[in-house]
Amino acid sequence: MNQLEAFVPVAKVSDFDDEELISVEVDDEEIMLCQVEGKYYAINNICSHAHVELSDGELDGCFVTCPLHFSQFDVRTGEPQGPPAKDPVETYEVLVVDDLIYIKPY
Amino acid sequence: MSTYNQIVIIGAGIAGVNAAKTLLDNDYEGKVVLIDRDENLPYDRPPLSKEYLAGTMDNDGILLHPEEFYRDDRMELLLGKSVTELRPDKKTVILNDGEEIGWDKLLITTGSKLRRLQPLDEQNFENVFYLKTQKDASRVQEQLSSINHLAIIGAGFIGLEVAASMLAAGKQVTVFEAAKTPLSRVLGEDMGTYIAEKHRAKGIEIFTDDYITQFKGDSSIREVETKNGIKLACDGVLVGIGVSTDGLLVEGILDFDDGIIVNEFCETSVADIYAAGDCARWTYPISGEKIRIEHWDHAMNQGATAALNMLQPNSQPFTTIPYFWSNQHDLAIQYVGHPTTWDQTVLRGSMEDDTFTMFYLLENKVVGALIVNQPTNVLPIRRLISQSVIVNTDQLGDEKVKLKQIIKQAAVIN
Ligand SMILES: Cc1cc2nc3c(=O)[nH]c(=O)nc-3n(C[C@H](O)[C@H](O)[C@H](O)COP(=O)(O)OP(=O)(O)OC[C@H]3O[C@@H](n4cnc5c(N)ncnc54)[C@H](O)[C@@H]3O)c2cc1C
Repeated sequence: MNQLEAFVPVAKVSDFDDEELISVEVDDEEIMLCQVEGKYYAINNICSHAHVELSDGELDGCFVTCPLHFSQFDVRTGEPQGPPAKDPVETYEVLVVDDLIYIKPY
Repeated sequence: MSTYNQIVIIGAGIAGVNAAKTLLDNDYEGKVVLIDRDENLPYDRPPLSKEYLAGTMDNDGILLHPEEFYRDDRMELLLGKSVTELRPDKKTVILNDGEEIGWDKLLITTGSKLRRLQPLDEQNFENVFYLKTQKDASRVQEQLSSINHLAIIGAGFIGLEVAASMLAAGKQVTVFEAAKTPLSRVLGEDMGTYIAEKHRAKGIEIFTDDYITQFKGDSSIREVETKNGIKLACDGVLVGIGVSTDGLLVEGILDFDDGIIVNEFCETSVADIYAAGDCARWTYPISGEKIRIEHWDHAMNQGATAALNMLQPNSQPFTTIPYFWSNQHDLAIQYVGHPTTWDQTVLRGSMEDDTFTMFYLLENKVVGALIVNQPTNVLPIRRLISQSVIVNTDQLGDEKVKLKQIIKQAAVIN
């Protein structure tokens, strides 16, 4: 079976040359991509607290900080680390094949 | 000395609730008693002038935490009760029903008090509104259908947010502002003018350098008249003229000067009594000034810091750079820093496109920034302000040079 079944290509590894957070849209879902120590992660791009794009925030280690109210989310699990956000954001499976980054939307 | 094995928090706004949460998250072993005179489950205030007023967020939506959060054995939430007296000698507080509650540490997070228009209050009109509590906001909502033209007194952030929310709800809106330029005290003339013009372009009338001298009507206001002779027929008046602090509870007990004076560990002039949020005055490390901040992010962070210092005295200095946001029409406004004076401003981006950052500098250091529809800038700028370094102002105004690059270089030069 093709390991990439149900995955869609969304970005290139080289896109991260000068960006640390990338936003992509798949089937109306807004998704944020990032890279931590060579590993790629994808979470829903919309903060679970207010309608803001997390990709406008900043990455610090495994945590992305929302640019509006500064909630932090763990990009590995989607879990918020502190207020104001109470709920996690969705996470997505990521695969990298050659220079292409694939994710599996819901 | 006897111990009660509990911490009392007066005021369940964002500062008090987040302090309680921080205590529990950090395994405080005693009990947290959280008291508020408001009867509603603790809620968030910013949506009251925005989504809640516009009807797009409901009672559950504005809760700070769901009810389960307070069902923790280690916590006691007392709603609908106010603290009327502090007894630091006995380490207790007295409630309005006479109950006396003991504490090992006390946190005061009582927020601020609305400035009221005395003459207006005396006349007791039915269609006069203030906006501080959930009840206030519900009242506006309940009467919304009978309001066609709302007069707003005060073009501060809340007045302007309400103006935008009401316009979106199809109402006619007129705003009266005593200053020459709205928001100029915080943002300066140019930016105040920019924001006022945005409102005017949307169809909101703003009269500046003017104030209402007469309210006419029987049980309800039907017309207002201003110092400059403007007569306006309206069927609702909302007052948003800012807040002040109330020293009554702490008078003669704690150092107070338009706010309870706290040190960098959020402790007041009396040991074991802490204060945070809108009610506290603290020393801002960037300028050395004693300031009081009336913003949500500040209250949330100072509440948490106070909690950590209650658990471990003098362990966490509070250094958070003040920050607030405001939504008005299609402007996502963010403001970071707290300059009381500046000697230069630098524009980055395009005001025409409503996508820009205006930097406020003092002696070549960024001390504040107004960010309009450029949310990516806020976190780097907050860092830049806290580093308090001299920056290259030419680069600051040049969007081709990345902000992060400028910050890196500034840190190296200094
Ligand atoms: C309509 C509105 C819109 C706002 N919008 C924004 C915004 O967009 N961005 C932003 O940054 N900030 C905004 N703010 C400001 C922000 O909400 C406040 O800075 C913040 O709520 C302060 O939190 P606090 O916990 O210090 O005080 P508060 O939230 O005021 O809480 C204090 C609590 O103490 C209780 N209390 C007081 N005295 C007693 C007593 N003696 N006994 C018992 N209980 C007592 C009060 O009932 C109250 O619940 C807004 C405020 C309002 C009113």
